[in-house]
Amino acid sequence: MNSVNERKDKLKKIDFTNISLVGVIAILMILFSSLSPYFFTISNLITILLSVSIIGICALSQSMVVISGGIDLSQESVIASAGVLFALLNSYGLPISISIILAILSGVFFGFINGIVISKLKVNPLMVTLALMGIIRGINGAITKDLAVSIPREDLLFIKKGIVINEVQIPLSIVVFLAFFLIYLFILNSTIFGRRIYAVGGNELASLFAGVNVDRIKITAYIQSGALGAISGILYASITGAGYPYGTQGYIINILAAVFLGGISLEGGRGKISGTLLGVLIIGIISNGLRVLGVQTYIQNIIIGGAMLSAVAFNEYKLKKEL
Amino acid sequence: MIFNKIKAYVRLQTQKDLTIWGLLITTIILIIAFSFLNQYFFTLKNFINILLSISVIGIAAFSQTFVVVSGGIDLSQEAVIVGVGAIIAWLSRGSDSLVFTHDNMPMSLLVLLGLLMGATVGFVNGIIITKSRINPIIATLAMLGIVRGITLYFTSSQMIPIRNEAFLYIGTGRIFGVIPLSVIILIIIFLLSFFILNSTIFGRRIYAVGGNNLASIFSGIKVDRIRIVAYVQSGTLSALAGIIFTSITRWGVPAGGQGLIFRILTAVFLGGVALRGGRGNIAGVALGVIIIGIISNGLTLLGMRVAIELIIVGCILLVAVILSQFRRGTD
Repeated sequence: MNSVNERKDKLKKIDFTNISLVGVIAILMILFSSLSPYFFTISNLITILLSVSIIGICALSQSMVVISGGIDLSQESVIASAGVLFALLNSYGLPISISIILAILSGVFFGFINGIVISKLKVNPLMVTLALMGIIRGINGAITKDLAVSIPREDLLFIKKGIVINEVQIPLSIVVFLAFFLIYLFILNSTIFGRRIYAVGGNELASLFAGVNVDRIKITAYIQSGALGAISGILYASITGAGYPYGTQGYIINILAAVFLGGISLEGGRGKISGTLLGVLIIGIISNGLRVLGVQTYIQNIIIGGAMLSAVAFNEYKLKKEL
Repeated sequence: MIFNKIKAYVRLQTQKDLTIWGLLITTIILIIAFSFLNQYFFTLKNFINILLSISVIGIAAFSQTFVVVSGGIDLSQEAVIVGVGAIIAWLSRGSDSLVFTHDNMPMSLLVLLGLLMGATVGFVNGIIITKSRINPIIATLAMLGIVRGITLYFTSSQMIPIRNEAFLYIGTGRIFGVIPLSVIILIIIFLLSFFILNSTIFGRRIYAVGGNNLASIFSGIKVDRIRIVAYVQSGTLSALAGIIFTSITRWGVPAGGQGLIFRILTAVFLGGVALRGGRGNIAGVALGVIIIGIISNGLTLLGMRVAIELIIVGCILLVAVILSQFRRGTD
C-alpha cells in the first residue's frame, strides 16, 4: 500500500512540461516533414537554428526577467536599436569591435533605465517597458531618418564564417546562442544570484526581509535583458546585412511566446530555462515550417499569437491545479 | 473635528481639480508655444486639422478609459482601428457597382459590420481575460498580433483607396460647411462617455470593479460581465475610430497605424486615469487627448519626423505613468 502511494508521489514530482514539449517538437517535425520535402534538409535545419538563435538569445534573457517577476516589452526595440547603432558606427568607419561594444552598451543603458524606473520608482514593468518600446523605436527612426543602414559584406565575414570545427562551419549566432544557454542554465540553477532571481519573483517581500537586495536584482535582470537583446540585434543585423530601424515590430510576441511555451509563468518565481530552449525551438520550427509551406508571414503571427495565449492559459491552469 | 473634515474635503477636491487645472494650463502653454514657433498653427484650418486627428485618438481613448478604470487595458485597439478600417475599405471597394441606387445603403451596412467586428474582438478579449485570468496586457498584445494577421490575410496586404462617397463623408464631410462630421461624432461619444461613467449605475460599477475587485464581488456586482462589456465597447468604439481614420486618410492601409496605441494610452494616463483602475475621469482624458493632438500637430508643422514624435509621446507616457504612481500615494 505504502509503495503505491510512494510511487504516485514520485510520479507527481516529475515535471511533465519538458517531456510534453519534446513531444510537441517531435510531432511538429513529423508534420512539417510530411507536408514538404524541403523541410527536413540539412540547409533548412541550419536555417531553423539560425532564426532560433536570434529569438533564443532574447528569450533566455527575457526568461530571467520574467522569473524575477517582471517583463521587458522593450526588447524588440532594443534589437533594432543595437542593429542600427552597429550599422551606423560601422559606416562611420569605427572598427567592428568598437561598434559591437558600443551597441551592446546601448542595450545595457536602456536596460538600466528600465531597471531604475521599475525598481526605484516602483512603476509597473509592463507600462515602463511599453513606454520605452516606443521611445527606443522613435530613437531608432530618428537617428536613421527612417532608413535602413546597410553593412558592407566585408565587415561581416567573421560572423558569417563563424566557428569551424572539423571543417564544419557553424554560424556564429548558433554558437553564441548555445553558449548563452549553457551560461544561463548554470546561472539560474547553480548560482546564488540565480536563486535570488527566483526568490524575488516568487515572493518579493519575503526576499526583502531575507536580506536580498531586491532593487539590485531587478536592475541587473533588466540590464542583462537589454544587453542580450543588443547582442541578438547585432547578430540579426549581421545576418540580414543591414540595421532596420522598424524591422522588429511585433517581434516581442515571438519572444514571449517562446518564454511562455517553455513553461515560465508570468507571476515569476518558477520555470526552467531548459523549457525556454524547447519553447524557442517550437516557435522556430513553426515559423520555418510555415514559411517552407509558403504560408504568409501574417498567418504565422496569428498562429504564434494563438500559441502564446494557449501557453499562458495553460500555465495559469497548472498553477491553479497546484494550489 | 468638523474643520478637519472640511480641510480634508477641500484637499481632495483640489487634488482632483489640480489634475484638470494642470492639464488646462499645459494646453494653454502648448498652444501659445506652438503659435510662436509656427505661423500656421493658430489658424482655423489647422485647428480643424487638430480636431480631425483628435477624433480618432479621442474615441479610442474614451473607450480605453472604461477598460483601464475597470482594472484592465486594451493594447489591441491599434489593430482594430487599422484592421476594421482596412477591411471595410476592401469590402467597399466595389460598391460603385452594387445594385443599390443610393450610396448610403450599402455603406451603413458595412459600417455596422465593422462595428460588429470590433465588438467581436472586444468580446474575445473580455472572455479570455475574465475566464482564464491571463494578464490583460499579454492577452490584448497577442490579440493585437492576431487581428493584424487577420487584416493582412483579408486584404492580401494591399492598400486600398477609398472612392465611396459615403465612406469619405464620414471623415471629411462637414456640417454647416465647417465642422467635420467626425468631430460631431467625437463630441457625442465624449458626452455619452461622460454621462455613462459619472451618472449611471454601470459607470459606478466600472469604478468599483477597478478599485476593489474583491469588494465588488462581495457586493454582488457581476465583475466578469462588467469587464467583458468594457472590452466589447472598447472594440466597438475602436472599430468606429478605425472607420473614421480610414475615411480621413482616404486609404485603407492594413499594415499602418503603428504607434497609435502609444498616443491613446498617453492621452489616457495623462488625463489622470490610474493603471490599477478605480480612478480617473473622462474630462481629464479629453484634455489629455487635446494635448496629444496639439503636440502631434505642432511637431508636424515644425517639420519633425514621426520618429521624434514617437520619442516625445513615449517620454510623456513614461512620465505620466510615474506620476500616477505618486498620485496613488496621496490617497
